[in-house]
Amino acid sequence: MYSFFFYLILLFYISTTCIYFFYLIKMNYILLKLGKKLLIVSFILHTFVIISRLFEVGYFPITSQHESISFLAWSILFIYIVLDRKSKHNHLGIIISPLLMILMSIASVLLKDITHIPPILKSQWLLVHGIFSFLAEGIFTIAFATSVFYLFQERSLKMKKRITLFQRGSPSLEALDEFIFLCIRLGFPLMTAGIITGSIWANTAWNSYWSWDPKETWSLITWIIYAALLHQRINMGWRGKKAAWMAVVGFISVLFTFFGVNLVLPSLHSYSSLSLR
Amino acid sequence: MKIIIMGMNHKTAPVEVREHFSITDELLGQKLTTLLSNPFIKEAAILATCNRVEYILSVDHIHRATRWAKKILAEDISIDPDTLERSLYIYFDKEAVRHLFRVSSSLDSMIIGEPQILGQVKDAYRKSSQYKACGNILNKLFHQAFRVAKKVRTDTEIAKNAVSVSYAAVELAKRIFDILEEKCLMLIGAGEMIELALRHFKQHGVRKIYITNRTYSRAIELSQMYNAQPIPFEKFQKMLLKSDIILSCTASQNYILEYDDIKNAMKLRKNKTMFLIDIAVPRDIDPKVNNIDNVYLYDIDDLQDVVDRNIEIRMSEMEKAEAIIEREVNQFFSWLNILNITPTIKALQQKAENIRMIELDKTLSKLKNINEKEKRSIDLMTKAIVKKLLHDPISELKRESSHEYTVNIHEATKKLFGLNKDDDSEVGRS
Repeated sequence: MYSFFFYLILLFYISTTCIYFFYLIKMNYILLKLGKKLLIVSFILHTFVIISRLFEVGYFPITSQHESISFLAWSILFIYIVLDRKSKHNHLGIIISPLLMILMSIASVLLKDITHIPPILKSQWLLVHGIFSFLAEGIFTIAFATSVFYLFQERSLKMKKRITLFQRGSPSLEALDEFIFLCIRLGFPLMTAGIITGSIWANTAWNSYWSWDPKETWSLITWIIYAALLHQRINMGWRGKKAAWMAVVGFISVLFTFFGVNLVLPSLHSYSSLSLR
Repeated sequence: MKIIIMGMNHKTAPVEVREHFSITDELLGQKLTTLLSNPFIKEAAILATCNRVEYILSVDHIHRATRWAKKILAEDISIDPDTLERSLYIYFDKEAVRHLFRVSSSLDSMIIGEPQILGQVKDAYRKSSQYKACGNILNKLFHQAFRVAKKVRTDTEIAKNAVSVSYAAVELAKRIFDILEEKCLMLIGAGEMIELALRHFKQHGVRKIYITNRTYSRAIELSQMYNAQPIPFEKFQKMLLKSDIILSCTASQNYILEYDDIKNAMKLRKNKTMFLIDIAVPRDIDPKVNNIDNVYLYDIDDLQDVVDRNIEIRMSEMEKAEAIIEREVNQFFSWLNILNITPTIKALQQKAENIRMIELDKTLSKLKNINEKEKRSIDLMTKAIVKKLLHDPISELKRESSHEYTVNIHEATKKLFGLNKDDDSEVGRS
């Protein structure tokens, strides 16, 4: 049953991506609206799947690579829907939906069995730490998507190029820039909270707040990147192109923390094992 | 009922010819009245703008109406008949309707998609109505033209994207800044171009405006006119800190704004975006300025490129617009056909009904001993015969395959059923 619904959502993300793709070719605004509607439906389905998994497992389902990727996708979509109005941007879905499709495809080849975590880790901190961290990652993803649009538009204005398909209906540079800033401002405290709750949890489980586990180290690096971005932005007026590039770099760091560390470096985080089906 | 459009525009006649045909309101009324005094012209409207003069007519007889209209058009105008003949175009029926729709939708304008023409067409219609020269055909035609024009504007990009340099600057500003109302505009210079741009920016909500000029009095003058703040030329560099949009158009031979000026200003502004527009020749702003982050510099050629591309976009949207118009032309003609055919259908039905009644009476008076029920049956039977017999000719008449085809059938029906005798005056002005 779980598998069926999981593949159904994957199918939804694939079709949304196709719709956005056709939108870019045909420039038909109906497709754009359809894409957005499909994303909302996918979100509802996805929420349902995660809740059902929650009841099945008995605790917050982010303890296997499969579950956490699926939850990451959900978080991105959640933030996208929450911030949709604020972004003034109809086109974010063009970047979001292929991203969701890729994430879910990766999740689909990973082991879907329920992996039981050691009882020592079973605590409320799992939920708190998980939610903060994933929402932060979701927000940073949206900031990244907006930055991509910013960089395209910035370049076309600088080079005095014609408006491309990608930019039609795009808000002004200023609006994009403000939105990126808003995302970082929201995401940063969430990430900070994620790291703090994580270390408290680590202390209750392993009696150590910080053990320089690669995951922890890379989270810290990511945190420092966003801290620098915020600092420079507020004090040095780092706005526009530089800020957008920083948001891209920050997102790459987020991705590396999420995937790279598990692939390359041994880690304490239980879901690090990329066990294939 | 036929539709004729006769006239000339900027494509067929140079201004030396067109200017002869400009008319005052009073003269227009006179012309409309004289046009309608001809028995073959049922309705008329005159569209006269600086780029065109056109007579839009609904007539009974094409050749006689055309001859008369041509005479009225050239009345009191000393123009060589050959020149007139060369400048004039005359469209009939579909061509005419298509032409009017194209004109209203601004496809026939000098600058495609310009918005004034629709207003001028509306004006022509209003005046014609004032002189009671419009009947139900022109009413329908004009209203449909307005609707088509609106549809073309909203469904295509024919009227989107700026086609003037100063408006292109405003559109670029909108791609850079979110809310123009909150932005500061500084104008360097006080010439015509500056004033034009100033008006455009003001229209789009810019409220805070500084004007600086070497001749300070001119800056003050312009500031008073547009509720702006004059800045002495020696001090304008200080205002760079506050200005988000700067538009420069002076006669200066060297750069007024150097790379370092802007670089320093950006530091003070904490990198807040600046949009610089340099429409002076020779240029006022060092082109290297464009390399600074968050600074966007457009010179006159860049803006002209934008305008050229926008014109290209408009041209490429022509096809879409023509398709919309084609559909509407057909729609208008199916309406007109039905209008033309209705009297014939009515006459046909009337004739059949008359025959039926007469014959029915004859028969019933001969049949003595039948009851009411049987009478009813006979009545119903004759009705059914008439109805079934007329069904095919009527539906064939209503069928709006091609205009010409319908007309032939129409004429044939009238001939075949002898309907031509007394319905000549049925369709007229209402």
